[in-house]
Amino acid sequence: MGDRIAVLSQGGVLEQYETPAELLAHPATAFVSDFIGADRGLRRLAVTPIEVDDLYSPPMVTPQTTVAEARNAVAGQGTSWAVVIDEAGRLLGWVEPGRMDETGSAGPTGTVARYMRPLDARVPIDASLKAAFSEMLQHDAGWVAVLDRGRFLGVLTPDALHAALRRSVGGDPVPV
Amino acid sequence: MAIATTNPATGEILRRFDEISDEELESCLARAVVTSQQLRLTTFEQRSAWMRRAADLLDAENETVARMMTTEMGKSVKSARAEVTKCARGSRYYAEHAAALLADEPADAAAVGAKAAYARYEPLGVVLAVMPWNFPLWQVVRFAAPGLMAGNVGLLKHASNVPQTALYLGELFTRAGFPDGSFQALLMGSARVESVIRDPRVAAVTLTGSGPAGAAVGAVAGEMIKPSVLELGGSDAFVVMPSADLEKAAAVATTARCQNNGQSCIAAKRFIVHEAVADEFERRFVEHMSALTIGDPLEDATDVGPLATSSGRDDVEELVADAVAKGAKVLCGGERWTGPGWFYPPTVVSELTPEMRMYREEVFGPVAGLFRVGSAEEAVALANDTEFGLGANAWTNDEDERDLFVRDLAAGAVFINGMVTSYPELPFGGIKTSGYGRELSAQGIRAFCNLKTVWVGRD
Repeated sequence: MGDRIAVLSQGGVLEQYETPAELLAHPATAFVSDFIGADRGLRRLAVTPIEVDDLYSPPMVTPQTTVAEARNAVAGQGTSWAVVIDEAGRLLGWVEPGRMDETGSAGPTGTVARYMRPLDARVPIDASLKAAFSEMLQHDAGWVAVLDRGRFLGVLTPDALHAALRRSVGGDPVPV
Repeated sequence: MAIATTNPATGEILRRFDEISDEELESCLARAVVTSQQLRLTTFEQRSAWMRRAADLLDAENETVARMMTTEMGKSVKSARAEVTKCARGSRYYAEHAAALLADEPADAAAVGAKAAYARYEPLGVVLAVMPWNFPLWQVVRFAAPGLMAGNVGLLKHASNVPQTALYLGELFTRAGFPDGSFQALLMGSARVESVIRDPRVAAVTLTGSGPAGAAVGAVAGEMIKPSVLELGGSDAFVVMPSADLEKAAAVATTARCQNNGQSCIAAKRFIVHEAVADEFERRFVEHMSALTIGDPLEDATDVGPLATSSGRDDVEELVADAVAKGAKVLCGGERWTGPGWFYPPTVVSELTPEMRMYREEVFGPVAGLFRVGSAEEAVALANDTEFGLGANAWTNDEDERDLFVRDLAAGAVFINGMVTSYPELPFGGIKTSGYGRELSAQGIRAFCNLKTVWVGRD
């Protein structure tokens, strides 16, 4: 397996010799652009890795956080949800504090543990943006959690995905 | 102590701050641990770029930050500017050298029967920094720059009288590009430090401050088996021998004592002079000390501003009064300024005896104690007759004496013919009750790393 791809036009003329990511981001000639097709932006998803810089740090709570505290944690954060992590920083699930039933048996001093939902949309940090996007679609999720061997790192949102694509290789705008 | 900015030059409370709630603290800890998981995956190259940007921000904001510090703790604005510059330089030092300082250490694989054997430095995770007000920016950056470059995350518990500087530092590194939560300021009182050290998410603690604060933090860290670095008080000796350049020694002695309005752990505090040149040194020293300009620290011409706190000035006054009552002689200064602000003038006290508190205790203000000795050996004995062991200064142009001082002065640093100060390139720390561990240089960045031994067997 090579790291770079040569695109040759008729007569063996070398049009471009580059990494897949660079090729998709910056086709050198009209021939290359035509060759790799109109959906090159989407294809770049498969060759662009997730970076720590792309991640959004959402509100975070632990299972022992009370319902009232969880409400405070998301207030003013621009999201209605928080991820639940343990003290070792491992991902346990997620909660929507606004939807917790305060009149239930637990009351406002109950903890978020009983409201916690599993978080299935997750990818490892060494995955590609395509894998993250695919995970998001598969679970019909608005965001996907990114992990390093179980350790929670942050989440990728559609906005962050778009920003990551723009950042990758020179950062020209990509129609997504 | 309430968290507030109080201008020491006027005594006026300018701004009060609320302590963070328990749930805010909890959320800071959760964020810190997640950010540490992110940061360990970043490269030196990435962190260097962020750290350089932090240095650029410090340079660009030098004047604003300097005036903020002066307003919060009273140091002269010119010394505050120099502090900001020093922080930018320290940040750039670690941006440039961290990768080399933390490079894998090769070992003799064959000798241990391995295919490969080496040791690698890994970040420990979340480190709590408990920091003092006297160099409110530098004390923190001295920890933060190597800490972040190593891939650790910092939590800052700053002194209660410098909240604005604390909040600035809590934002600086994220503004420079580090992930959210890489370095968070926790506005809270000292009473809550213990619970943070005990928290399983916190891996280690570093403290610069007083002996009692260090003992309390060190005790909890010890019980939790968490590494700690303590940089505590000092009562540095400044020895002057007959062969010294007396004029230069007297000028540097003045700076060494009165820098930061006399409130520095590594300020020279005990001036030990050979009797052959004692009269001459004393005359020049008193002349320099009396010539310093005292006043509004925001004025460019000011050399010495107010002490940072009212209680701090009371402590200095008590030590001088105790010495005078027991027969010491005041050669200049010695009387507090009347009027607003916590000013205390540069003061020289001579004829000190072991019965006086000043003989043993650290004076955290611009008060110099003068001693006379008959020989270099006597100077060393007097210099070492202290519970402290941070820095030591000796002025001599005699090579034998120089070797004697370098070998026998019991301190974390010995400076010959120059003022004790810290450089990013040199280790910094003390012995005895001045603390343990070292900051800055290679030791400073390795202090909060796991030196992991790796042994890979033959196939």
